[in-house]
Amino acid sequence: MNAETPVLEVQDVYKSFGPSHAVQGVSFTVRAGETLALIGPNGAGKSTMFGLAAGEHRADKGTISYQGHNATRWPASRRCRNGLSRTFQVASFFGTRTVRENLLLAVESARGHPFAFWDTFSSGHQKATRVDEMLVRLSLHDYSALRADRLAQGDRKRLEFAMALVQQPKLLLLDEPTAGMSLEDIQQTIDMLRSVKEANPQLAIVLTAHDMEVIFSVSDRVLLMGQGKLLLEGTPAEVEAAPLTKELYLGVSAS
Amino acid sequence: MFGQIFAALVSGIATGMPLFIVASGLTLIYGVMRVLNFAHGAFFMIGAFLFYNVLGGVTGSISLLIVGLLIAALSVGAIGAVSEVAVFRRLYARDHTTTLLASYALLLTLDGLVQQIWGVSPRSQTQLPAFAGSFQILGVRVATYDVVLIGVGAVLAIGLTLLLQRTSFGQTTRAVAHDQTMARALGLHARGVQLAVFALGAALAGLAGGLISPLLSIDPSLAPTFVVQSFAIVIVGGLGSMGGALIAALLIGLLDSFAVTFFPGFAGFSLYIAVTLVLLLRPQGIFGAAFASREA
Repeated sequence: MNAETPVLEVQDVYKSFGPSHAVQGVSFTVRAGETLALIGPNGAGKSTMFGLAAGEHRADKGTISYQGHNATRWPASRRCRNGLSRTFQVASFFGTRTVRENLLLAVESARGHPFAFWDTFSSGHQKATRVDEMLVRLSLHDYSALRADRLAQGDRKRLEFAMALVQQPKLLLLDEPTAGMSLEDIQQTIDMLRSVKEANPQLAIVLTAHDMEVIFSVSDRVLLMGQGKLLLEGTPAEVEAAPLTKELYLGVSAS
Repeated sequence: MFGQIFAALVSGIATGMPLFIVASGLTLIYGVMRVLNFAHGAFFMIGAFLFYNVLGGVTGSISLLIVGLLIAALSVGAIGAVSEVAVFRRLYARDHTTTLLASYALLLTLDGLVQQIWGVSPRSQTQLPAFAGSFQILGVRVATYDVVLIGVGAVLAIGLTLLLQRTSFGQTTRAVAHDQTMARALGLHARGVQLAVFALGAALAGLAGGLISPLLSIDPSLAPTFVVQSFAIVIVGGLGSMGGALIAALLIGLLDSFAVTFFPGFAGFSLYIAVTLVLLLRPQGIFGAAFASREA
């Protein structure tokens, strides 16, 4: 892969669930170091598009290339082992395990050979260092021995974020990273995203969000979706200024 | 009195251990995939028939017994793997009713297949001379094969616990049991784990079938009998709980042997009494929601 190859390239992708055409002919690319926001009203198809990129759904038509490889038919697990990490709308982790164990599992699983029956899941030195660094970076070190389901809401999101980052992804997919957050937590998330981008200038990020402030603060480009189609693509300022956005997304009549 | 109690204790544990082995496979498959597999009884039955075929019904050597058990476990494990790919894999996303019906259809299919291959007339596998006898412990006669059953059951209980708790495979399996989508997103081979767990669960049923075939009449009625018993154990122990399956199997084995010794009138019913009591008092089972949703 050379520097010009996009990290993610979506070409004319379609996906239907029964009679509902969730995504219809969407194309876009994401390059290394770029942050892309997918926005649109409910039912616009952004969640489905996100799921297609993550490997949760399989496209009916079109291709999804990942670092130059055709990954359309790759399951989520294979995408992850090749450098794609994601977070969920509702923070997902293993509640009965400690914060640290969750991160160890994330490192372990990105490495990917679960059939090593003889492997005793010991924490190798290098792995442990990576985990401990991440705990400090996301200010989770005080909770490292705490059961994950005892964490407060904001810390849960941070844990999930840490699990994605500790896998050292090339592409990070964030599904509604600020959904249900307080203003203070939203600001913290924005700061965190900025510092992550600073620390990993090559990391490509795709996120879905409702919150305009998040979109403005972190993304380089915005894609507006409506009724399964890509309606508009541009900088955050361009997309926000477009009448179509106001009409569709903000629920304001364009007239 | 002590002699009677001790004898009932040993025979109860020996009755419970093979039940644990069958039920452990059932509960493992439920715990990871949420599939209630009615065909599990057929897996067990095929294990018994295959074991009979290897030993030929006559007395053999201990090494032949081990070969028989391995063949029963591995072949039934392979049948489990094929069923996973052919039937269950496409149904994980559906509700319990669909998988339950599919597994019932598989039970009937395998049952028909067994009748085609082996017929309906019962067979019996002669016990190996080395295990046919008995010996004295604390003045009580204990059947040698009971000790074998207890030993194999204990080894498997420890082995399965270590596998699930201590190995990388176990970590992965528990992650998939907890949340398949998330496990995939983290890069885990969820599909491979599901296949391996299904094969392992089936292999445990096949092994149990081989292990107790010298004590039973080997015929097509084994499948329904053992599917009911292992479901009973899994219900009493708690769906998806490995420890629960062990405790429940031992409890039901002991209940049975004490009933036989002290209340012969209840002998055949003890299992159903236990299940009824548990369903009334603690419907989620003794260790309800343990292995699977303890993770949640």
